[in-house]
Amino acid sequence: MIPSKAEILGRVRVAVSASPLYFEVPARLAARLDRGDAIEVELPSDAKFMVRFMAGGITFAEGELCADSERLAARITHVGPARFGKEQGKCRITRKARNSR
Amino acid sequence: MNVETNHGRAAAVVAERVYDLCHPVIRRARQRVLEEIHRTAAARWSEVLSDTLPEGRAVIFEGIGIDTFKRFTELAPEDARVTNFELEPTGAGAFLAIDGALLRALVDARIGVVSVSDSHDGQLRPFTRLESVIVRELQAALMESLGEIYRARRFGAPASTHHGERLSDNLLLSPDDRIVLFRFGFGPGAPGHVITVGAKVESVDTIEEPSPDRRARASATVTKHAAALPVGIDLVLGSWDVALADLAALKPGDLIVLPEGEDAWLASGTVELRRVRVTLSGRRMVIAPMEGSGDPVQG
Repeated sequence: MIPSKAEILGRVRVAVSASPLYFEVPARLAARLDRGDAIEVELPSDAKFMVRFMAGGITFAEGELCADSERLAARITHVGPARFGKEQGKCRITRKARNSR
Repeated sequence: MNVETNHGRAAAVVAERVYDLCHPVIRRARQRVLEEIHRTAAARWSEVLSDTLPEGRAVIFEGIGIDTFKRFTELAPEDARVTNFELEPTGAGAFLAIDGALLRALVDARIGVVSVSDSHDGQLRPFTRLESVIVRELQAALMESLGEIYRARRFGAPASTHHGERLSDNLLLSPDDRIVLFRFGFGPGAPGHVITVGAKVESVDTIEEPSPDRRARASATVTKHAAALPVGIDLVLGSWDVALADLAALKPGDLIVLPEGEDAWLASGTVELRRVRVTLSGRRMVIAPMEGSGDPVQG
């Protein structure tokens, strides 16, 4: 019996990516990010953290990030191909003082 | 009946050249080593011939070529004197050919005779018995220094050396053999290639190719600039496996709870860099590498 396409694919792996949080750092820093370092991102007052849902590298839905005191969640706002592009996030990288333990 | 057509005459004018699809090639790294060996030989020969060469003249290595032995013998001067030898351990046939005109000039200089225009019909004056001995001495001296350099650079040890009157006397090379040719001259303003060393092309396989120095390639400057290049980074907040049917059922308004922001990582393209913890507070997000996240994310 030849399985149907859906059965062949079975389950897919979905990743949630915080889309606006696309930022650039020097390659050296990206390779050496360490425990204690932190990347802080702050958005303008009228902006929200947007996320995109991707499977196999393809965006199939978009949403916004929401959080309360206990949990982090993503609410779907649009199902379909990506509508918003990647935006450069305004970020600040703080390095832990290396001589402190 | 002898009929000559226009087509036949045209064909007679155009020189026929057979193009070989399997033309051997000497790789660049080996070629550089061979060039260095023969530049050294040229310098040594200049020293050996310093008493007989005109002032200010020196032997100069002019380059490497590949040809068939047959074609080389057809193009080489008929008066060239040849030393045939084989290169041990491969046993590859080889030769050292010196143009007759050069030998005549060297012999004349050695015995103190002012070199005159050789003859009315362009033929060289034949060597007398005494001059022939000097020719052999010159050939032997050049051969000896060449052998020293070849042995030192592991290009092979010349053996079974014997002198011949003609290039075609070489019993170690057949007309169709490919030979690598090392040509020497005396620089601009001097006659063309006057000394030629030839060897069966397989002999170059004995040259060890210098391994590229990777450390030299990755210079400190390149490393420094590469490390400063900006890398685009994505923050991936999590992933999970889901059935296609469930995926298709997703609709606006659905809420997907992320596992306390701990199943997140930084990624650059398809390369996952670090696991991170994400804390969201209003318009501010803090992304911090997690403990034990020094290694790239697995699976």
